[in-house]
Amino acid sequence: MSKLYVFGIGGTGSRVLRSLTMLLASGVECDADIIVPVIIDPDDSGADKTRTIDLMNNYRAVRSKLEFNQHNRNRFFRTEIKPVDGMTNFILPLQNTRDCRFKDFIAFNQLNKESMAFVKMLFSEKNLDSDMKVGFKGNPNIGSVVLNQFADSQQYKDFSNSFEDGDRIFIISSIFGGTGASGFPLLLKTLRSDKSSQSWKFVSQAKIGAVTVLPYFNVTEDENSGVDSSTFISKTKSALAYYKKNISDNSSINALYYLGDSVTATYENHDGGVKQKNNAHLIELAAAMAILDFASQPDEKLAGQTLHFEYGLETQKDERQQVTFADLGKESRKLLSVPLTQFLLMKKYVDYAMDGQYKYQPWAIDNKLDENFFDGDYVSTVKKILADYNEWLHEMSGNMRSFKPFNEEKSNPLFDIVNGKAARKYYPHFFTRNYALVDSLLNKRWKKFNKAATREQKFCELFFRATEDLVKNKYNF
Amino acid sequence: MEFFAFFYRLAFYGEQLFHHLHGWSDEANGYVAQSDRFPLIFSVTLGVCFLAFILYYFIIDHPRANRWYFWLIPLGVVLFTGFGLAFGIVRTDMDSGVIAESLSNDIGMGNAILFGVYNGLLGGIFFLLLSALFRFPSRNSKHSPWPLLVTKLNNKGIKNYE
Repeated sequence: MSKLYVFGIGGTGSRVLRSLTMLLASGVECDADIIVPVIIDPDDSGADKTRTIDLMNNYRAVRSKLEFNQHNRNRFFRTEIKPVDGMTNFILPLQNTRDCRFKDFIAFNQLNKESMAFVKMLFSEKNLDSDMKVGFKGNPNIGSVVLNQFADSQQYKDFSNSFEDGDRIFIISSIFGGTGASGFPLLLKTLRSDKSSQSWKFVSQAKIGAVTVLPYFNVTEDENSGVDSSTFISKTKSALAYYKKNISDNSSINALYYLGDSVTATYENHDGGVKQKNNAHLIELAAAMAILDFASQPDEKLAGQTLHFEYGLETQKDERQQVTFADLGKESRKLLSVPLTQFLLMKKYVDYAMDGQYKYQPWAIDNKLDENFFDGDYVSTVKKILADYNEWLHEMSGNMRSFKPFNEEKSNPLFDIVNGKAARKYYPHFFTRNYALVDSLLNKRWKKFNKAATREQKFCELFFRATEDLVKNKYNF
Repeated sequence: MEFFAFFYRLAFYGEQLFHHLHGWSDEANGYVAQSDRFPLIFSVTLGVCFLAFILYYFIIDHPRANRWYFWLIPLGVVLFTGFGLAFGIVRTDMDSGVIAESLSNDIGMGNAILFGVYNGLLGGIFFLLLSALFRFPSRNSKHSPWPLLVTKLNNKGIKNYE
């Protein structure tokens, strides 16, 4: 498959895109050559959204210096992430949601008396006075009106025009909020019916998948907030009934992934904005895996009735227990364990050994990876991504349900970082252990190593090969 | 045996001591091959050099020991062994009275020390040469104590990071 357009709607959309970017950075297998993220979220300052955009931009900056051909084994950053041409920061902008109350958006005061009365039946006073700059605050009835404008924007037309035969679309949304719950069916309807672009046939007949996230967290009670988690279940039930009738039954979607958890964490109640920065969660990781799963499905399997998927753990866990690699199903374990461990080993080495070592190690000297390189923008961006990666793991481990495959806070001994997995003895070279073993493998004379590659290429290639060797020999995943 | 003596020609440690170590015999009025000390001294010194070189660059070859100051350790071992061996042999000969009478009056402790220093330095030079010429196959220590010239030349073509 060439391109997979991934629409992330609302806060959950951004958070799942964050998890997806982390997986791709670590080199998790993805059957799409290019991921094209499109963020739909009226909350301009939402921290979940901004940090995901920063991460994806950093990913692109790092990847832009890399090549992937038969000489390279490197899988870090292998899948390309790129925005739709003409789209800034991956955002599909929504018109007239800034500094605008909902009643102004629908020109409530200009309605006739009957229409006003009808509107008041559908929307509460609070709804009508709602300020939309941070989203729809858990009110899908507002979202369903405001988001009914996708097809009008130039950026949507750019997306549609860039769409080619064989490309696919995936939509991420939560079912219990405002933006995602209302945006998903509207977007799907637009994709299937809009005929305003040259490529409308490809878009309308494209294979479309979606993940809809059921409640997996609560928020604290706050009278001043528009978000009330006691309504999550009822909203979910209504939306599920709507989806069944209007999405699944008419097969307007090819694959639908449902994710949820009975164990829920409680977050602080923020309507949106810079304070809405929810910690990463296992459910978001599972949603990111749903995207990869959709990309791997053959076209024939997606033809016909809507396919429905759920996700489960291999082992029964109560809410106090942490989920590790051992608790994941065989396929998930195979997909995640090796690349995530490789990337964390790289992160640890870069943090705790690299600065003190590169001046002496052949892997750096031979490839002219000098002070200039290590102090430059490239390594600094790689370091940022690695720091974000560690933070992402740390957030998941502290959440409920906790996903803690690593002792990510541990730095020494290096190989004790995988939870529930003792590292095997592996001394390929005279008792080199811990970080020195990483150096020894970086210094190895690797076959088919392209000496003519760029320094950035060599840097990533070396770390991939060394960590690949380590993971293979140290852990029996 | 002139080959081994060649390395000790620069006899700043004393002409007489050179003759003695080369195997001078008053009875034979010439050099006696069986009494020539240079093959033994040279072989052991060179052997220690090789051993130190192989140990440092190919057996230990540890990524944390590839600094110039760690390289001084095998160098020190070579210098010390070379000195100890040479000095010890001369001292033993002096004590056991095997030095030809015509030479013995001119060979003292100062000559023994100087010869020890000479042999130590000779060993050091060999170690330096081995390090300069044959360390490139080492995995972790090939740039110790200084980066290989060939690497420097290769890297000249690589543009600096922009």
